[in-house]
Amino acid sequence: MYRIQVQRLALIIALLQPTKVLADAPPYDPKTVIEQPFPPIVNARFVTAAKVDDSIVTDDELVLGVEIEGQARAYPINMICGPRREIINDRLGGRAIAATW
Amino acid sequence: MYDRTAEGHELTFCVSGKLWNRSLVMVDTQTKTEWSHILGRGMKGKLEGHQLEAIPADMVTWKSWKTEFPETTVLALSRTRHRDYTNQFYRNPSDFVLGYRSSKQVHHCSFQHLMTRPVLNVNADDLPLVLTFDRESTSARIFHRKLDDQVLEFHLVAESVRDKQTDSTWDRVSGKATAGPMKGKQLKPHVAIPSYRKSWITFHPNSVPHRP
Repeated sequence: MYRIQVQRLALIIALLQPTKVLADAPPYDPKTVIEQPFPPIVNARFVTAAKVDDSIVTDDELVLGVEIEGQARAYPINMICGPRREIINDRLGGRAIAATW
Repeated sequence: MYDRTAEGHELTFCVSGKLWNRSLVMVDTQTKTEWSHILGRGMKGKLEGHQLEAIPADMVTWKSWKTEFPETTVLALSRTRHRDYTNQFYRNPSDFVLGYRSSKQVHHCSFQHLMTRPVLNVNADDLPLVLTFDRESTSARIFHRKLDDQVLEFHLVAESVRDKQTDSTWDRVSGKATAGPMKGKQLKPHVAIPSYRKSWITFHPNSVPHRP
């Protein structure tokens, strides 16, 4: 089981060199599909693994899983699909995180 | 998976309603900056140019995740899909790549290759990494091969992941040594980005493909 520690995070940050990595990205020309942003998802409901049944997620369904400072959380893909759900603003292990799909 | 902190501010992200090459554009409520989800970068507005810190995460079956982390919590919103995303996700492996970054470049490895060689040692600009794939759980992970002061080289012995230096046994999903002299040691995870191939190449046209 892995632990995210500050020095690892520093290494991950150091590995990202924005100008070089971005130099070859296409020009930023977004298209507006929906005029107004969707409201942010904050304070979403979570349950413990023991309370999970098939209505939430089945064994062979995919989740996005993350573990930070000993706390693990899973975001089932089958509930973060769709424009209203694609970003889950969350807190885990003392960090503010965004699960995005 | 991103850290929501930027320049000391904690940001709250919304789906903006915009798409950039069919990719999600996020907007934060604090500064109204537009962010590319796939790049994790501010594209327009006050925090343009800012790079969000990516956090290693795994896309994996629920069964595998709860086995590895029995104390995990789970998001419990209503379903928007019924069983569309299962461990058959990579049934067309040629459509997918596993992307990763080194200090200088962006790289990718095709899932087709990863499925035939599910433990792959790479050197990404002299950064020694190992790519692993577990078919049952669909977990595709990347770990640093440098541990303490040595660089390990991994291979499969039957279905078991071993390192050539100490012949320790490693769990390819968690990156932890389960047997041998290294038992209990943990490989450092590296951000691994499973992506549709087309999408990856659109945003990273100079991405370096892993050559078998």
